[in-house]
Amino acid sequence: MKTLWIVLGVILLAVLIFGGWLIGGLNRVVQLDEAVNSSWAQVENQLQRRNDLIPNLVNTVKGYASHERELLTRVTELRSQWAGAKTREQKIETANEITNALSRLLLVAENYPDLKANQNFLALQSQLEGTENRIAVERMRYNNAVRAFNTYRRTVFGSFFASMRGLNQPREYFEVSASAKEVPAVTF
Amino acid sequence: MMKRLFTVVLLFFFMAAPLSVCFPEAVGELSPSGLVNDYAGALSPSAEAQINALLEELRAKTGAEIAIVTVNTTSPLTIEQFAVELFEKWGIGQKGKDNGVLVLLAVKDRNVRIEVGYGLEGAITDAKSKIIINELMLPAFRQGNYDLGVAQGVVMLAKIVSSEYGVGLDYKSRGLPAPRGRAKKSSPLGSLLTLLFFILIFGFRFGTLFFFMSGGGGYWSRGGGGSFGGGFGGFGGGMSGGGGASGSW
Repeated sequence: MKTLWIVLGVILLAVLIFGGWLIGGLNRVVQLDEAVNSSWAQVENQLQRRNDLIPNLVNTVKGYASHERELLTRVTELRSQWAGAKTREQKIETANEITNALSRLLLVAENYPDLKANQNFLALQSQLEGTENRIAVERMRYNNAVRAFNTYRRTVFGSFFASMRGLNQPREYFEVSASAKEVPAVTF
Repeated sequence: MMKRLFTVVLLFFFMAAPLSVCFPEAVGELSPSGLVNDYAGALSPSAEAQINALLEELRAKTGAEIAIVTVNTTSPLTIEQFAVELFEKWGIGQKGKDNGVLVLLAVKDRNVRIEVGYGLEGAITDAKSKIIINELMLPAFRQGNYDLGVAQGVVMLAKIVSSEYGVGLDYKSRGLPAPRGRAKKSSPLGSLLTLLFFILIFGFRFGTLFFFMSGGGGYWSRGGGGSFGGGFGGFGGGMSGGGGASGSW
């Protein structure tokens, strides 16, 4: 009789341990997924903030550097492109293009001393710098969240839990595009 | 047989262990000994003590935490990256309220950054941080006067935060330059003389006050190594998002 109780006790313990493991794993994968979503929301927040600075920037620069029409038009176009971007991939791509275009614009502004001295432009510049830094921070946190999720999804049991919750796709990293790393050529 | 089963079950358990996100090690083993942490030895002990006292008063009255850190270099990170990581690691500001500010000075690199927590971004905008750096800190730093630069910057930041919370602070008795209505260029020499004057007058009184307070026990933060007891309780667990401004001289 005693052995029966012991056996039952062990089985119960095993079931509890297994259940705990199962629940823990399912919860874990969901938490990691949500962390990715919420950190992406922060990234989008900052990208939107940058976007909102664009009209003011374009207007200020236009007054001094009307020759740079092409660049200014491009930036304005990209702003609409951002508004129209639906998938995360599109958003990431557009954001990278905006980074590119803005850094070219700011570099070109170096050629116009009157513009550089303009108070409005200086304020915009510091706002843009601040926003770019915020984007960098939120992007880093987003990528950390993505890494945590993607790694877990590839572990032996992580993949099992992920598929049980329907989370079968790896999340994409917010990578800076290769072209953004090129130093833009300045023409005089 | 049972032992094997048990081992297997244990293994199951450990495989499901949560995968923790690694925290970058770059910020290293820096741990705070107070609100003012002068690792680079750029500040004089009296300036450190007075700034610390002001910031402790601010923290007591509002909960907002302004931390000052000086290092020689932030290499291999940029000052922005270093500031964000340090801010996150120490958790400056109250958790949830995120009312923290970090003033980071990299002396050998000649860089300075004001990193503002989420909760104070509205009060201390990027533009204001930039102005504080350009007009109140850099001119003094260019002359090698870190005491003055940091003091002026801190006083302005404290003013902004304290008026955000609707409280007043005691600048005068600490020999700190009272905040001006508008940031404008001032003679660094004039301010330095004022500072020295107050230090001489109030230094002795402050010294005895210092001794008295620590004798009473409880937390009393000291920037430098000292014989006083009591430890630094740590920061509140706040976060920043990259707001603020940087400058170099």
